Amino acid sequence: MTSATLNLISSSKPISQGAEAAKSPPMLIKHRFKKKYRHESLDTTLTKARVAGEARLLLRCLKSGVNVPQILMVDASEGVLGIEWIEGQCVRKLLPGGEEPEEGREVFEEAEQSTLDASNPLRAYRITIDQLLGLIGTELAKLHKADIIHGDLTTSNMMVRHPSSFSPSKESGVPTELVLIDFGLSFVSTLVEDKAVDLYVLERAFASTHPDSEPMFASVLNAYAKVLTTKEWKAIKTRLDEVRMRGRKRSMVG
Amino acid sequence: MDSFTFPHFPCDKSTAHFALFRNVENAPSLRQRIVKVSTMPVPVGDSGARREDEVERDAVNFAFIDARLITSRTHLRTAIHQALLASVTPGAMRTRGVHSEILFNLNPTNNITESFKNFGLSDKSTSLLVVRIGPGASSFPSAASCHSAPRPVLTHEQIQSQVRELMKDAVIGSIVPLDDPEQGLASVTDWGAVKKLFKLNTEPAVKSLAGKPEEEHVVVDKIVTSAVAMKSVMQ
Ligand SMILES: Nc1ncnc2c1ncn2[C@@H]1O[C@H](COP(=O)(O)OP(=O)(O)OP(=O)(O)O)[C@@H](O)[C@H]1O
Ligand SMILES: [Mg+2]
Repeated sequence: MTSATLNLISSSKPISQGAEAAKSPPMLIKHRFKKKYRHESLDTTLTKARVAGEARLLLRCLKSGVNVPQILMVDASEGVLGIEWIEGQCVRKLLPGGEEPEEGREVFEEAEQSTLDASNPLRAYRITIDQLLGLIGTELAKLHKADIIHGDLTTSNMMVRHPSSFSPSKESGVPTELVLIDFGLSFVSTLVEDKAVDLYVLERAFASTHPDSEPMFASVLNAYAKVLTTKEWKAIKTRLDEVRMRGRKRSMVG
Repeated sequence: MDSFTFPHFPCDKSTAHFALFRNVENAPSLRQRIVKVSTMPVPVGDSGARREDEVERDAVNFAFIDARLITSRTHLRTAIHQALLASVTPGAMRTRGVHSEILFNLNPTNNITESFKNFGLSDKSTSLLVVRIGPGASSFPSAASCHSAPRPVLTHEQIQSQVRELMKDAVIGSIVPLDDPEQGLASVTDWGAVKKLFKLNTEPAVKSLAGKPEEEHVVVDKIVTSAVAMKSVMQ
């Protein structure tokens, strides 16, 4: 079995080192493998739909001013989405407790490991934890203002651009930006419920990954609230409290 | 003369030769030639086509793109790549050839006529990006047609200079390096026209950068390049 896109994948190293590579932006290829056990045409349809969905949501984010990687190629029939390579680090690794190696991720991080300041990985990014949490809140507020629900908010699905690959605008005051990634489960919704659940999912992810996460998540919400109107924030905050209650009840029942 | 190479495609289409022409003087007559060629009977088999028809077809067998609507090297590269991808994916082509497919991919809607009108050559065009898809050294023996193809008798440079001569025969104008800071694409792009065509003036990403043209151009380029890349799955 061969196709142009599979050729591209099998050779991605050589191509990116080619003479022309300097002029074309580095690309991350996200490949959804076909599942052998599923009915083939059904599988192709599902794979296509997921790639299409992720691409559409990325474009909507770009138009709404939400920081996401730009799209560079789509081959839906092969289940391939090519996006801008973000030079930087995922937020999980930059916050306390997130450094535990996770299986299958070594390849990605190998190169960066050595350049990281082990005691405080954020130093290389020239921002404080509070500034980082602020960036997260602001970006999520922009996302929700555009009625986009991420669907899988975790600190792994956010990246911080390395200052060396970022030219800051004059007034932003930070030498980097936060980039949201992984829109595979995203959808469009105006419902307060969906936005509240989106935030709750992130709250749970913070709690399970980063020790003493409560004040951190509070800082995220603080920055989030600042971008919304008082009315918008009140509705979402009230609903978030309800969602938390439901979550607690569910875990008591088991 | 400039080129993109795509070694993952079959060798007969693994290179896109292109040049930016400025001060183009013969847009109306060139456009007439293209129209004429497009209405010529399509050759059936080997004997169907008249020899002079074939020569004329080859002489204007390029994608002529209005350079004012191209925002970056990556924008152009993405449109060419997605057109090539369509040309090797069964049932994916929306137009008759890979060159017209490039124009189709650049357009924000699925209307083919409109894509030629927006991005193609018009009588008033003075800055053109001229593209020819052609052979190059493919590194994939598995890619179709590379098996049987004889080893390239011409080097990349030789092919390139042949294509350059063909382009210069077709277009009266001056070739400028794409990245030339004064004469290159950066001085040609009409950002107002791009924003209007893609209806970006009301989008938050663009509105929030009013008065900051440099930052706005980066964002607009990202949006239109992404739109081209995802055209095949656009709603
Ligand atoms: N554009 C990018 N640039 C650089 N690294 C990226 C980019 N996109 C993703 N990554 C890295 O790859 C990891 C996985 O990417 P992503 O979350 O998009 O894929 P996924 O298949 O949905 O993974 P999972 O479901 O396990 O979260 C990210 O956590 C990040 O470290
Ligand atoms: Mg992920």
